[in-house]
Amino acid sequence: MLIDVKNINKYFGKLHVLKDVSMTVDKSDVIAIIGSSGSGKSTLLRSMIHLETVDSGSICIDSSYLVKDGVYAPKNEIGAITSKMGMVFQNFNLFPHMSVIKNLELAPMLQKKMSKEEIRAKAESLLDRVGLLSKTDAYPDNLSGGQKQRVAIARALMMDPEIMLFDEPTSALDPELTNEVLITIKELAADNMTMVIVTHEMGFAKDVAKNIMFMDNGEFIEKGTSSEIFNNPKHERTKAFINSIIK
Amino acid sequence: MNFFEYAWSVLPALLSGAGATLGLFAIVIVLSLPLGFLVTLMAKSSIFIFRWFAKAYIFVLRGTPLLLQLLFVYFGLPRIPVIGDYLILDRFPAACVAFTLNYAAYFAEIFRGGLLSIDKGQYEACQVLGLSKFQTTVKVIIPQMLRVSLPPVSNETITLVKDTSLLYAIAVPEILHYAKVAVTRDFRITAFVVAAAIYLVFTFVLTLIFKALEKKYKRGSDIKEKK
Repeated sequence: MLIDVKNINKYFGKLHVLKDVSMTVDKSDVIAIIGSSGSGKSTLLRSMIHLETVDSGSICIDSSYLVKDGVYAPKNEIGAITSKMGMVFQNFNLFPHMSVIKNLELAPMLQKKMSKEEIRAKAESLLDRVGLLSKTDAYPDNLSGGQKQRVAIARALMMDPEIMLFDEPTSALDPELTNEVLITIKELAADNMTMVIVTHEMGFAKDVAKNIMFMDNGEFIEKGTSSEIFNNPKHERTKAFINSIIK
Repeated sequence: MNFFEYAWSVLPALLSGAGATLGLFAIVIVLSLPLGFLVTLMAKSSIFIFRWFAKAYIFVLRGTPLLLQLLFVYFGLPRIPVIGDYLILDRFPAACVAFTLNYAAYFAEIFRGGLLSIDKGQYEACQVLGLSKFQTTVKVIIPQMLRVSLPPVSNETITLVKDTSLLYAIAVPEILHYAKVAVTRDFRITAFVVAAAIYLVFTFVLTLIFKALEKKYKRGSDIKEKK
């Protein structure tokens, strides 16, 4: 099991955003977490890669504990634990002062024991994979939203993550641009990448995810395969949510 | 002598004063930019005493006139009991100290504004890519901060050129001093016009330099990513 989240709780002030949440992610799993805004799904995803800290519970990444019973690993070990994961953000968070290729090369240049030439070759092959080899020297602000997000995916892949986390990767995009990003993610799924995707794209979740987890008000209400959740939701709130999204 | 002949005749004297002006300008720019950034870092520090010091520093240096600070450094510091004897500075070094301290406070505020403009997503992207805090600051944050800070820094720099005329107050001979001498001696105000022209040349050159810098750092764009 690659990710094991056990009974985590998280408060923002008095607001209980994650209520005793548990989930596991196995190798090559593609899990979509769905739910309305404010249900805690992004917070859960961000907790896995230490962008948020939880107040209690355990998160274990590839058999190393990021946090065990509310106690975090020593600071100097956290980087090694979270480096198994790559993350793609809703707002891309590309570095605007660097060209596309420099965005990809920065992190490996600073920490990998690879030569400049190897890093360049790898960056070019990843750009080719997301269909943006022609944009090597462009700057992020000259790209469309869909292109930016594909660059962000390539940048995350530069670090050879075993798991990719997607935090609403298409929510900031115009509808006609979401498809190119979804295709890229589907290709990753086809390559057996382990992925956890927080998304509002129900059609996509249905299509690409093996398992769907419905989150509401800080807890998982229902978990199942995509056909179980979409065709035969058991819980009233899941039904209401699915109906409100698919019209 | 007509206007131009006279202007030409006083030019060498005024230009000899330009040395002090340029010297002060160069020294203050070189020292106050890094000092200002240091104050910014202190203001953002997690250590209370650093934050407190930076805030007090900016409050005092920005809240009092530069002329007062200049007079204080030159005339006031040597009068402080016990340590005053070690703080006696010559006119020009005293001006360098006062100007540097003053401009550092302004630059610190500009840099702080530049840091505030950087989206927190930039820090998060660095974290998930495994960059250290130091790498994040040097490779990602400072370049973006400088880009945002460049126009206000350019503004302050031009103000600095003009503020060098305050050297007059502690009798360091600079452009304005020589102009005043010529005006008093010859009862012609032409020398003031020549002085103004010299200042204009300086600020014009600076404007060109900063335009080029802004263009260089604008690559990509200065628009923040859409929320």
